[in-house]
Amino acid sequence: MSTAVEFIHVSKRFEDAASDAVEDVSFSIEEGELVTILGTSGCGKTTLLRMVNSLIRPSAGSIKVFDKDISSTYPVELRRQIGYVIQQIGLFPHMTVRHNIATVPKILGWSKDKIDARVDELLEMVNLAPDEFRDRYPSQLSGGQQQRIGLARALAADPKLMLLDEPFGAIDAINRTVLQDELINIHQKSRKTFLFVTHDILEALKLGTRVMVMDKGSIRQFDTPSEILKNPADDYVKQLMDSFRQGFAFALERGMGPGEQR
Amino acid sequence: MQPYINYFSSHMQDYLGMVGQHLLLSFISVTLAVVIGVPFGILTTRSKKASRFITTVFSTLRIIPSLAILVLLIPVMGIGMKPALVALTVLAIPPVLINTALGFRQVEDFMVEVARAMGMDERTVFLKVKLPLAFPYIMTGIKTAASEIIASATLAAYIGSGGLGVLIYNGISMMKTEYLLIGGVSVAVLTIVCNLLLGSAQKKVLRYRA
Repeated sequence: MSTAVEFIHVSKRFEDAASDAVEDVSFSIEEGELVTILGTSGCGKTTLLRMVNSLIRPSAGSIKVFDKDISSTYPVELRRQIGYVIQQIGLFPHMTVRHNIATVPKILGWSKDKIDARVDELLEMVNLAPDEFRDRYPSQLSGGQQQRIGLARALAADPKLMLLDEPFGAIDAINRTVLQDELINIHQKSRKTFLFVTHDILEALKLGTRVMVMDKGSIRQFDTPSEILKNPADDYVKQLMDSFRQGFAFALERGMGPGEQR
Repeated sequence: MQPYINYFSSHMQDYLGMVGQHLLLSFISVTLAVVIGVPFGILTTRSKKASRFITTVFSTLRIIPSLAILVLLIPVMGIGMKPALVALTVLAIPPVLINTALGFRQVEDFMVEVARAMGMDERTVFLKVKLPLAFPYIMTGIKTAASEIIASATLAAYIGSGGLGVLIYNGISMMKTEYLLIGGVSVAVLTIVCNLLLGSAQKKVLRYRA
């Protein structure tokens, strides 16, 4: 196993900001991991993610992607090898599903036959019938379907690394569960490396092979879900997990309780 | 009815000539307005300073009535088609410029970010994402400009640029109602037809919206 992403003493401070958005962060992620990054809004998780594909430049430290320092790689070139999915999805409204998915393959100069085959393959992977969906515009899809296309588009050129920023955040709870299961499936089949930002504790614990808990720009704990639940590293993580457990226990208790309380 | 039949039977060539001139005058000024207005509109979205400067210049120009511009241009450019084109272009630029700026501003930041994140260089982001998404707005600007120009081109006959305005001015000086009506209705019909054509083109561009 080789290293997919490595941060070495990385900090980021935005112009005019009083403190670092990301503060002296070091970690490494092995190839094939699905790492969830958990934190409240403003904790620096999105900034951290966007530094991986050079949408944001670090103020200090160095970042390696597949053992290459990204400051010496042309960002445009780097990004073509990294899939990117965001909460707002960002499908191009003026392009059909086929053309949306084909964006990166087209940039890379694939042949038309190869692109068509890949589009159909990806549509099947995200459980949308190719014949039915290929020529639709994004406005003709539901939110869940749109994010499936967003995922397919990011996977199109078979990147070894995928970055996802709260991809299911705007999708209703029922569809979210289905999409989470599909994502786990895709990860297991593809053995790609996934970095998945979320503020949903359940989602982080369910999807992550390891979970990175962030607060105020630093990493509080970076470990497997069971370790984080069993041995929280500090008070912050403990409180987070306790609140999650209590919420869960409360919901379960109501569901299995002796009588209706209404 | 007789005067109208008489006019068309004896002056058909003149009439078609005037319609042609009117359309040519309008077409050239709208084209010039697009060539100038679109780049400047894009520029306003790039920097605040540029935006303030450009908006001030063009809104000042817009305040001056087009007839005044026409007259003011006579000492500089004489009479004929050239000063008319300048005046009409000045009139047509603001709607094109404003709508272009609006079009580019409404492109969501995340859309541009996703495009970059997929490995598009800035040129491709512009051509494949920003421009197509702004295009329907630019079309609205062109539509507005075209309607204004076709109507205003009538005034340009005043300084000898030709077009359907000639017929109207002749009608006034010769007290011929049929000239006035033929001229006026023709301008109205041209405006409506042009609006419909551009409107349907716009609808085609926007077919992706459900």
